[in-house]
This record gives sequence, C-alpha cells and structure tokens, in this order.
Amino acid sequence: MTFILAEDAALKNYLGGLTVSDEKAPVRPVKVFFGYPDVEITVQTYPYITLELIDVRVAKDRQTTGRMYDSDNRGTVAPVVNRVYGYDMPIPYDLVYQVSSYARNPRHDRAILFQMQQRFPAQYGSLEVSNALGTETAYRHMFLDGFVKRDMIEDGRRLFRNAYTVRVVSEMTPYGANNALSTVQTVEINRITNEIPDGLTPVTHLTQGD
Amino acid sequence: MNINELSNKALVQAAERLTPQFRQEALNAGWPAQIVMQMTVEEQEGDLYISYPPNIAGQVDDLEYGTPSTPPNAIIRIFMADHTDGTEDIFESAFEDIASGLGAFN
Repeated sequence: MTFILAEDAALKNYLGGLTVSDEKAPVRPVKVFFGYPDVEITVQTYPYITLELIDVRVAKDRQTTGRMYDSDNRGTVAPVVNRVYGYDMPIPYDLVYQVSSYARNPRHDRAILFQMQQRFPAQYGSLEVSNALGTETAYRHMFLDGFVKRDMIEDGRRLFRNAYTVRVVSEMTPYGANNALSTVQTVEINRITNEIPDGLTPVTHLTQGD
Repeated sequence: MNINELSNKALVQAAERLTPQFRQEALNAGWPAQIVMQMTVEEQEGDLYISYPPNIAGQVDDLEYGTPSTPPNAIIRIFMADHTDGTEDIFESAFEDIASGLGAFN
C-alpha cells in the first residue's frame, strides 16, 4: 500500500482486538472506525474507537539526500533477477492521528484506558507497517504526543471519552510525490468497442460532448 | 535589563505577534469568530501556549477534539506544532527589535 493508506490500515489493525467485559458480556469487542460513523450505528455499538488523520507534516529534520537501489522498488513490485531500481531518498513525514475512545460504562472506559496505555506508551512505541507486496515489515516509531480526558453528559447519560494524539513517522518517495501531484490531462473513452474486458461495463449513457 | 529579562520580553512580544496569525488560521479552519477572538497566544515560564477564558473551554475542547457527532478540527495542536520551529524566527526578530532599542547593536 502507499503512503498514508498503509499507516491507516496498520493503525486500525493495531487497535483491533481490544475487548472489555461487564456483567452482561464477559467479552465485548471494541469496534474501530475511521472518521466518524453514523450516530445510529455507534449508539448500538458502545464502546468504540475512532481514528482521524489530523495532520501530515514534512519532517525536514530527518531529511537526507542521495540515491537508493533495491530489487523490489521499495516493496512495490516483485523482484526480477538482474533488475535493479534506483530512486532518490524518500521525503520523511510525520502523520498525526487523533485516536478517540467512547464508552458509556465506566468499567469499559477504564479497561480501554488500560489497553490504550499499553498500545501507546509514553516512549518506545512502534507501529508494524507492511510493504505493498506484503513481503517485508517495518516498525515505525510512534509517539504519544498528548492525551486528554473529555468525559461529558450526552442525552442525560454519561459518555466517557478519551483523545490520544499519536504521531507515526513515515516517508514518501519523490516518485510517489510526483504521482500524487500529477493532474489528469485527458480521459479517453471508447464508446463503440465490442471488446469489453471482464469485470467492466460498457458506457452507454454518454452523448457527444460529454 | 539583563539577558533573562531581555529574553522574556522578546518571548512576550513573539506571543503577541503570533496571536493574529493563530486567529487567522483558526478562522480559516472554520472555527467560529466569537470563540477565536477570545483566544490569544501567551507566554508563561518560557513556553508559548494558547489562552482562552474558562467559560469557552468546553466549546474549544469540542472544536479541537471533536464530539461523538463532529470530527476534530485540531487547530491548536497543529498551530503549536507548526510554531515549535517558526517561533525561533519571531523570537529572534522581537529580540533584535528590543536589543536595537537598547542600543545593543550600535
């Protein structure tokens, strides 16, 4: 996977498997969502955790220069004998996430707090991120930059909420950056072909000038 | 004025210069003006921080960290992170202005 998508998936995976318990359920899973799910869903699924990417920062203090060479183009293509890829040193970034937890039950809240403190320690935190091929894994430094407890009353009921600010180090190759910034110039659509590849549907609603 | 007093004065000036910048960034991010205009960048014991009256603390927290139905709009954290480095320039500029006024560079 690519820059940001890989870290998103890794962080969601990292938070999977949290559970809490109470008198009605000895094991109650804590669901993890990107962004904010529909309120109707979350009402039925407390406790839950949300992930928000709140900042993407260039980390100039970690920038180095030079060329790198490998056989799998940074884990994006399968290696071929005698084929070597070369590219400029990647641009370092910090990805800043807000990880929020929500619970109605104080015991759930405490159980989540305990498990989150283990996953996001004050120091030596790391996040396991796989390359696109799934052949290699990197352990990225991960920092707990802040924690606030923001319990509130919602609809006459207590809502226990915690917000963690978590920073994950990352990097993007200049090639990836160029691709991300490239603008589509033209889109070619063949409206009369009879050779439609499997899985694709012919475009039938377009008229001249579309 | 000794060097510590000079430094503190420069930091206070730097905070004053950052306040309109912070407000503009908060407004650009969609924070309501009636909240933003009550917020200032201030200095305390050598550190810069965002200050606001206690009566709007709940609204500021809801904007910054989000609520169950609204996503976070993390302008305070982003601004403070942005100016961890940038503050050096503003501090140096304020320091030089003060020192020049004292005749330090004459």
